Amino acid sequence: MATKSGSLHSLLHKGAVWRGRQTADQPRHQSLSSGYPQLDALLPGQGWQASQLVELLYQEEGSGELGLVLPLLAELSQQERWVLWVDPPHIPYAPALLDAGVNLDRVQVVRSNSRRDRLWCLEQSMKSGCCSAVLGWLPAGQEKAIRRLQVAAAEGECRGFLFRHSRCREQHSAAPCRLLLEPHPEGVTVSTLKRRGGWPLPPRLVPVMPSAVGKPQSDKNRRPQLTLVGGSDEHAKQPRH
Amino acid sequence: MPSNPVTNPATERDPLWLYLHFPLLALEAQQLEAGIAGLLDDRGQKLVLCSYEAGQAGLEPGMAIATAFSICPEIELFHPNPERVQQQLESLALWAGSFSAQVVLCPPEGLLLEIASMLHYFDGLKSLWQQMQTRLRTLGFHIRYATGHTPLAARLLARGGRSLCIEGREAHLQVLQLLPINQLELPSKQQDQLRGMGLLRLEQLQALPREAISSRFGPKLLDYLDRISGQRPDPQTFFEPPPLFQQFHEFSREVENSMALLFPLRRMLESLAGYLRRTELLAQQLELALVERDGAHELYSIGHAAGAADAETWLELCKLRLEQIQLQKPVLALQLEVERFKGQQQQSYDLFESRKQAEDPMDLLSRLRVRLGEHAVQPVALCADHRPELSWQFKTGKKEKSSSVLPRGRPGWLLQKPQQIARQQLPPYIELLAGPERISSGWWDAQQVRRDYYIGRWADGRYGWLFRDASGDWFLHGWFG
Repeated sequence: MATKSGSLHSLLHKGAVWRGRQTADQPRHQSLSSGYPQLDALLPGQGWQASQLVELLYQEEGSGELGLVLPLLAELSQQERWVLWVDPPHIPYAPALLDAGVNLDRVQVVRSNSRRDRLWCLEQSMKSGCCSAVLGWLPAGQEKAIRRLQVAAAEGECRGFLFRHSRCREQHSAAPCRLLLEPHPEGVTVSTLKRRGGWPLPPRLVPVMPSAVGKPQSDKNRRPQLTLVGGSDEHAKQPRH
Repeated sequence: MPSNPVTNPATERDPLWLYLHFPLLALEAQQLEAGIAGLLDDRGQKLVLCSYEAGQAGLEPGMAIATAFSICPEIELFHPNPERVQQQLESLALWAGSFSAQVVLCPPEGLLLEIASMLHYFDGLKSLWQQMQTRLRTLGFHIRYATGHTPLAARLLARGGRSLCIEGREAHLQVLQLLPINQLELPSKQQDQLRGMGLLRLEQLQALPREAISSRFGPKLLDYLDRISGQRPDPQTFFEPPPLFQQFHEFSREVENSMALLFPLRRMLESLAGYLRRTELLAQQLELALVERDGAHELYSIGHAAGAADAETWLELCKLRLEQIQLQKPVLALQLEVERFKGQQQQSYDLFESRKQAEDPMDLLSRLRVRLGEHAVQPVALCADHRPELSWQFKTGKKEKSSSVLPRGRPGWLLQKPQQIARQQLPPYIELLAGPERISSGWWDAQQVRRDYYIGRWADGRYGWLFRDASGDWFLHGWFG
């Protein structure tokens, strides 16, 4: 019997057997809290895991995609390694990044000329081992490229984030973690399309909000005047819905 | 036995020299890649040297050119080019700077390195030799080598093909005893004389009384023997690296494919690494010139943000650059120069991060810049200006101290250009939640701005940053992503 339980143990140890509760047991040092308990509960390992590719799917920019990752970037940018943004669709706005605690000295923005260059750049930087996080914006398709990027992220111990349109949700993807983001008046609704080593969980609301609008209790001091004193403009005087 | 020899007064330890003999240098300096090749004599009639591959094919030195062609029609033949050989030897001397600060040129095809002072640094002779061998292999030269307790001992043993790598005076003396007289590099007349006396090995010659040697063969031979054994000092003139690094390689035939430039380039970069090591510098920018038939130059600059010294890093960058080049005309020669040097700094890495050693963070940025363009990679910085489009910048180079108060409540995304919003799209489609924040600035320059900023919620739940300008038009300027 002893040998049998021993071999079961070794199987578990090798990771050949998957247990339903495994996600909860995973070593926490590999994952960093997202800064939102609601989101942590969705993520395997209770946070953003190291060496992993995460896909964030949404309809259009402004769906909370930055807010979800900024606390992580703030923490990672304290390391020696780079936080690389590859072809972001708009300008990552320095005051907002600073406000979120991001150390701008570690942030680099890359502009590539073609889709091929962009993939090359993503792969190179992920596997180089000198980026703590790489953020990339990818069009639909790209199944093979994503597989390569996952390997590169693991090799370079880099957290890779791919931002894609929500119409890619039906496409197969090698990213171990895929999240669908939908804007909501009180933040963003996050659904897990896929999470390695765990069942998909019901969607959760994560309170990613402009600081001037959200978190009214905790942030009184920083909250600017909400009253609309627009003066001449009639729209500004309209009652709020 | 006489007292300690004084070959290298700077050190107290046992002197140790390493001699590298490049038997095929006259040929290999001209070859673009390994293959069946031969070097002709001055009159262009006979082979004087054959590459290793040519030897395998049955060719040998001394063969007439016609015979060589009949055995092997595809043989590539070269004329002697002593200048090129000397040039190559000097670049090898630069390369050797990676291993020793004291290198002696022994033309036409040898290098002598003082290595006793380097043993500690390289953690022993064995490890030094292993590292050197690895690097030599990438250079692609055939070599013979031997250590010696004196410069001459190392030279004779190496040229005799000993492949020796040992330490200690006694050990070397023992090997030297068995050295055949004909490998002593004596004038042929003297050699005949010695052979006539029945002397075949060095030990037999050394066994003769000193007076007898001196009276029979003259004091010069005695002096020579004493320098071999170390009883007499043998001062050397060391090679000084030039103040500027410049390498030139002329191809024996035209090169049409940019990737074929990599082989000579690798050798140049290995020399560069030795040069930088020796001078304790880093290279920040290289300039590669491709010389075409009409004498025109195609210039390419290749930069490394932090400066790099090792050949692999530079080769990788050059490869990236060359991949993008379509050669318009055949290239006749290649020239490499260092445009910018930088003093070496000690790199420090986090001791407690268990991560396997990553590449230098600056290497990555340099590679991206080489492939995507000089301005493709830029940091983001805050700028002291109230106008939103000016309060950020891609900074290049120096860090600016920003003393202004950080504006709060700004969106993560700023649009490149504000987008006008049609009036009918405002409420009920956009609900204004916070504002206005009056931003009025820039009256001193052309980009004057007077705007009231609001945070609005779009019907789909997204939050945007919008403003109304002085004329009452509405614009979207950012998204709270």
